[in-house]
Amino acid sequence: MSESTGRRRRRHRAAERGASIGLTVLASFSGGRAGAQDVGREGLSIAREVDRRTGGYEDYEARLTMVLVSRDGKERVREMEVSALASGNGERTLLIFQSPRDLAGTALLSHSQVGASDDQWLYLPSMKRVKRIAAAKQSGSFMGSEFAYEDISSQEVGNFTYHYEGESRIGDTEVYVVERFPVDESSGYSRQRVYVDRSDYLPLRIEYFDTRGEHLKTLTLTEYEQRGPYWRAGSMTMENHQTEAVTRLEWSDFRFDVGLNERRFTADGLGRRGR
Amino acid sequence: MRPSRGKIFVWLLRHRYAVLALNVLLIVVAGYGASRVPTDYTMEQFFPGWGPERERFDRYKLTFPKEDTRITLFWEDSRPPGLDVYRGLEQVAGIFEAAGLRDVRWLGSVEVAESADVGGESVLDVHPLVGSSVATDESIRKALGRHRDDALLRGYLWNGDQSAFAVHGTLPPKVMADDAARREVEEHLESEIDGLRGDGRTLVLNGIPIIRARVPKLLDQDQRRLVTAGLAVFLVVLFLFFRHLGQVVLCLVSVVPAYLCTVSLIGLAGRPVTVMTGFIPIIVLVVGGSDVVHLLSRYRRRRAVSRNAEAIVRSFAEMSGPCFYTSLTTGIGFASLAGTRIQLLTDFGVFTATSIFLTYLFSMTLLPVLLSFYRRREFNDRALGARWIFSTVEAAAGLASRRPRGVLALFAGTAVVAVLFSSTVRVDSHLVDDLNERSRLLRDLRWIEDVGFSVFQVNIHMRQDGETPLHHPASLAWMEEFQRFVRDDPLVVGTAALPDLFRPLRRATLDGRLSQSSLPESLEEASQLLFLAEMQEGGLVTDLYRQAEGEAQIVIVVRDAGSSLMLPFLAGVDRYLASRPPPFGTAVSTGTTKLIQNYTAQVLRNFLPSLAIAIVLILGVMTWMFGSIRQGLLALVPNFFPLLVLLAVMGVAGFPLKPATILVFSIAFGLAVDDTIHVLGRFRDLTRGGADPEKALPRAVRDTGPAILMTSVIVSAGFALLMLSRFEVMYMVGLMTMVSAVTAVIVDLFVFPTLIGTTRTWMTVRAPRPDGREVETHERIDWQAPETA
Repeated sequence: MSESTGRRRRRHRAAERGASIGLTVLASFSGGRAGAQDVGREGLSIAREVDRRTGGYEDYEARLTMVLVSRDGKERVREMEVSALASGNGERTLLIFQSPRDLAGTALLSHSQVGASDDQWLYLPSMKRVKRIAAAKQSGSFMGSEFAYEDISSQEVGNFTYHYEGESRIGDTEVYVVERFPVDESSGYSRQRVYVDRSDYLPLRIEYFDTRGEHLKTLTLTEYEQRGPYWRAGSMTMENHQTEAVTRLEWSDFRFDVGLNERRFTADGLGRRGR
Repeated sequence: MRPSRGKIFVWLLRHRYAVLALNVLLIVVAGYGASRVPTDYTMEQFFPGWGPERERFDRYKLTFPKEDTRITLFWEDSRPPGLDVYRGLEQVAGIFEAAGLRDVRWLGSVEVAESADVGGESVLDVHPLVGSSVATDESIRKALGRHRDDALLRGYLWNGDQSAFAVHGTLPPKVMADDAARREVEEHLESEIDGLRGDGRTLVLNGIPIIRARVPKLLDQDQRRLVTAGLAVFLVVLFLFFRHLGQVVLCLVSVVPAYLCTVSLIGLAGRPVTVMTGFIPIIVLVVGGSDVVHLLSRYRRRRAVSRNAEAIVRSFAEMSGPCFYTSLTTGIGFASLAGTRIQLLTDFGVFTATSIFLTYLFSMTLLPVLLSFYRRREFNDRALGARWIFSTVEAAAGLASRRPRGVLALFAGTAVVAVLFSSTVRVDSHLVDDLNERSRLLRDLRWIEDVGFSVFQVNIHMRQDGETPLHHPASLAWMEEFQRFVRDDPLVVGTAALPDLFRPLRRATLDGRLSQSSLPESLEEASQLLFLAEMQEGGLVTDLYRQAEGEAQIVIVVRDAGSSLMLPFLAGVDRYLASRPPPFGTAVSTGTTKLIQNYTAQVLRNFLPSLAIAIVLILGVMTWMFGSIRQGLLALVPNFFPLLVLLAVMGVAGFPLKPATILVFSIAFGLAVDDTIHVLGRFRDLTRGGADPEKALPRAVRDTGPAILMTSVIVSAGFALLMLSRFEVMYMVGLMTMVSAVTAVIVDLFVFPTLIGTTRTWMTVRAPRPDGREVETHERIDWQAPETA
């Protein structure tokens, strides 16, 4: 999920230029390491193309079904309404639980900002309270699922450096393989390996490696749909290879650029929902 | 001697080359098979292999596997808790992570949810208890002060007065399943942590995986040491008696192939060689070798007056019966262990019995063939005729002739005293048992409990059985009530359950205006707070509750206070759960601690029935052997005496009755009966051959006495070495077997013949018919009347 406004797009391009300049400077000092520079550029260009295909909207609404599957196959299902608004130098996301019944009405509001940690507010309808939650750690679990916050939040191109690995196949689909390395030192990952469809530039699989370099999780993205100019994966499955637990996110009813009101994405707006 | 038996040995000698070749082939095949059998020295095999307790435990482990995979570093520091201690713990956490441990938890990694004021706004601050970037002496002390009595953290991350801290990590499943990998991790961690030790700091690495790695390692070391030493002692003592190297080697010839075949059978049965079956060589060497000593002793005497072939046939034919029965009774003693549900003990009992029978078979086939190649006629029997042996045997034979009533009176009186002392024996067994108190492992465990932690838990496993989830307020109230119930017990170090998770969360969410014990008031509130708990990293929610599976647990951390206190505590917990079940779902007690204690209770419960079964079976064997139930009973009476003496020694010395020591009783009874069979068997052979019973009795004592004394010395010497073990159980097995062997000799040489002679009894005597067929005749033997041939 990545998106931008006009200002945000400019910031993105600035970040990409910075990455590109950085690579160029590196190349100029590294003399004969033109090969490394090339694979870095190639990886970066693929990442940019992916970003172009999947981002660029102002807002959206969708239905999300989160299925938490335990190691022995038991499932917990949570259904949510998701809405997002690109704003300022970040994005605001509102998740409102529809089911199960004991969570219905619980809402989570997140303000993510480029270069700063996310702010979150949680509305608990049983206690009729809105609580701001300070500084959620990006490597922490998102709502008890196998997704970390950093897996869900903005996947800005400038948040990684890249290395093009080559080509491969997933089933009958030819893919580019790009390794990306988080720039943020507090990331829970040492690297990620992204498999990008050669024809559509849509990510099909992402492998996550922990700080010890062990393969921790795999995200599989399927059932892509195009709504207007925007592509979205209808299903995202994160498999944790250590715990053997799986989380599936099933997206439906995407509606882009519907003109969402900013007041909806405030703590006051959250509290008013409970009255 | 039965003619039929003689023919068997004649046939063997006539086909000695073929028999030898067949045995060699069998040994080669068995040796190859034995070399391919894996070893498994893990402690999991001490657990009951089946039954409802094991099923409950396995079911619990599917959802909550961490209890047994947790490794903990306990850190006690004389400095006040501050930045220095924090950085030390941080280093340990880094060592754990670098070693591949998961879920590393310490005071710098767990997150808490607290109400905080940020810019005038009340915020739910979800943050690390003490983050590394903000750690200072003051921030650490403040955080520790605020959470000092947090039920989930006290007893888990720090002790009651916060003078000691803990860093926890869990082993990955692949490492946990691999004994060698587990030991490697343990050794690596120990060497890394060694560098952090210093003045004023005590660092102890422990946990169930550590115990499981170290105990088998120690057992393995002891086994190699003691089995090798036992073999050496056995051979030396044999040589001192026989003064003939070849015959000493012959004793091994029967035992070694039997052991190889047994190990091959272990492999064929799909079982590994374990810490218990690894002791079979020394047991079979000592027990099986005793029969070979009797055989060779008889052969040497025959050889002095006849040709080699005749000496072999006659001595083996005479001894084959008694040796068969001694093997049978000893085998029954070991096989009775198969009645436990502990796979380890079942394997040990069954395969040791098998090995003893195989030793008999090889003694009866290979040994006579090898002896047939002997040219020597005379042997140096000076050692066998040593003054002490001669004096002892003559004294016993004299008693058998005179039959003074004083002997029986002394025997009865001693038995009564033994019964009185044996009543003082107590039953007790610890979770990590059998190591002596000097052992580092035990010292560490005692230290851990002294500073306020423990590595042992009892787990209450709760399962949802309807639509209502286990975090319903009524279930939470039930859990809290149960925690209050168990906390009063002095065995309990602390408890952890879902209510301990909810209280601080609810307090933080409602701005700290609520009392400590406030729980959610509705299911919706509990569900929503649970959602909040899931957002905490390093949180303990999944350690206590798996919502998708509908399972929860209450953790009761306990001290290892011994079975005398633990079993009543567990029984009390089970009574509570039965009389006050949770409002929704089910709750049962389980966990490694419970499983071990159940194993203890089960072995103790089965002790008397197992011993009774062994006694009945042996009585059956003796009745069959002697053809008279009265003779069978008569033969059993003196063999209870060593068991009474054993119990009396334990009572006086303060040795507790526990699973390991109980094993010895079955073994000791089987050993004691062997001597009785030889004495009574020889007496019957002599009287059946027409000898005057009055003269046959002392002669039977003289004929069998030297070999009985010799085998008792060998048994005592061989088992005495076990007293050098680090394991109390091995020490006690050695000591108790020695006591048993010495007592058995005294009873069988000095008391039993007197008992036979004094008792008026009907004997069933088989006398040979002229046509060679045997018939039964009934003849009353009146010891006061002139003898009837």
